[in-house]
Amino acid sequence: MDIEEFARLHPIAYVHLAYAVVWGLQFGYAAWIAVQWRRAGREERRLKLSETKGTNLI
Amino acid sequence: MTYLGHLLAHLRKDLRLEWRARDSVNGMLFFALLVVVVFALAFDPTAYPTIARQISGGLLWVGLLFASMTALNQSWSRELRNGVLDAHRLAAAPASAFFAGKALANFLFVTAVEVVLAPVFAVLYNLHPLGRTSVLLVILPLGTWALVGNGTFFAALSLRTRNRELLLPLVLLPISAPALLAMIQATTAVLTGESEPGLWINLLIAYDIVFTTLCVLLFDFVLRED
Amino acid sequence: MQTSSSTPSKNTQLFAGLWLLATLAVLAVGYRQAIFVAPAEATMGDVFRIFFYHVPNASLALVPPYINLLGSIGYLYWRGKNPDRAAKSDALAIAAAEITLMLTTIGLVTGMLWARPIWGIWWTFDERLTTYLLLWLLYVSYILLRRLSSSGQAYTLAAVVSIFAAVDVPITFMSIRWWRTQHPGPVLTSGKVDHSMLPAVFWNLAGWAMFSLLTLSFRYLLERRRQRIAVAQAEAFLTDDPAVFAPAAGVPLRGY
Repeated sequence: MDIEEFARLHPIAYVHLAYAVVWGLQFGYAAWIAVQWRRAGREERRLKLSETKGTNLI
Repeated sequence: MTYLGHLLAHLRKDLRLEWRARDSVNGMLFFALLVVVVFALAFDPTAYPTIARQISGGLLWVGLLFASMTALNQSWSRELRNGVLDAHRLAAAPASAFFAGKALANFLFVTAVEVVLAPVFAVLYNLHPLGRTSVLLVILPLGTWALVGNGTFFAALSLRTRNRELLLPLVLLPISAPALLAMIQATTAVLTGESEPGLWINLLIAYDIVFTTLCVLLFDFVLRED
Repeated sequence: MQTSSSTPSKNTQLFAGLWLLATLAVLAVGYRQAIFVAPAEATMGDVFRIFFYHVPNASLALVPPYINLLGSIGYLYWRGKNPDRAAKSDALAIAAAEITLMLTTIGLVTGMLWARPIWGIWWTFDERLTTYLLLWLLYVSYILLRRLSSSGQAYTLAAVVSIFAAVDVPITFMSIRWWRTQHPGPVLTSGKVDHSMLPAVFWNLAGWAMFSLLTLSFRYLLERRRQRIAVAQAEAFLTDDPAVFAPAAGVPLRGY
């Protein structure tokens, strides 16, 4: 069965594909933000730690 | 010194620099000729005069766009040597006069290229325009200013970024899209004689006014940025 | 200078969690309405159901450009007077730009998935498709500019480009309208939509609007956190702290 015929027989496949794109992009972007958020949080804590060390040395 | 005096001083300086070196005009002219020849090889316009009329407006502007982009970066990187740009930033002269002078100079250079290129283009593409050719005398300067005004501004903006040669087309092309559409549609309308270019000329005028105002207002931010 | 922690308070976290739960519930209702409740359209059949996701997301894409413009103007206005407020405006601008990019991408891709079975082609240069493509390109170039310019300049240059882009959008819209007109007219306001379809559209519009608002706020907080890191790194650099020379892997020296 070629792809044209598949499209004619199962139009709902396009609907599910489109919905998957919407969910994937929206939630994928949110997940990317969450990962960056945690990474940035680790870096922030690390810098805070070194900040206090620096003041102790002086 | 008045604002106009500053503007003219910048313009004179740029014209004199270009007259002594003749880098950008020669470079642009040869580049645009190459684009025209390469497109002619790809499409063989003399065999299909109707198609030639339909596509040559677009080809001419695309060639000019790419050619002017090669010169726009140069026109600012010239100012980087010996810290000239920093001196300009410290100067009491208004920043927008600096921009307007350079944009006018670039406009004159691209116009010079067009004056040479247009006849060559008509001969190579065997063009017989069916509309009123005199209207092109309005469309060409308006379209050139739309390209060069914004182009000069964004070349200054991308001057101190990484990959400045890459950044200029990336920013300039999406913002110029309506102007490109208008100038190509207007030129095609004149060449084919099938429609009236009036609407597109009005759009070009509006685009030029709006974006020139914006460039003049915002150039201070771009120049004084560290 | 004391850099306060960027972790939101317990109350904010609770509110965000509840908001997320409510959003998921609305989205579930919207999905049920779109797939099971709304009837198949007379001529297009089931493919019409793509519209229940396409129209809300594509319409929402027209909102964040204004937020981006406001943030950029705010940055240019406050940058010399109130650095904190300027940084906040800039964080809002980049968050809105990324949301715009994501929503226009969704609009373009779902539109193409609809056009293939109905028009028989993936793409045509009609009015609205071209406008969305140019909107997408404008915000790609905005985000690329921020990535390519170095730390100090990025904010100002990006704000300037954002203002240009915002002025460009209506001009593009009009010029493309004069150029081509093929897209099916505005689906909601033309009155062509049967009333049985409306719940599916509005539930999904509400759900995705709530979710986009959540990601917008989250992205804003992330940018604020990155700005705090940049400030802390700059201060550590000034005090010759060795920690600044070994940033953790994967974390840029500053947010872009």
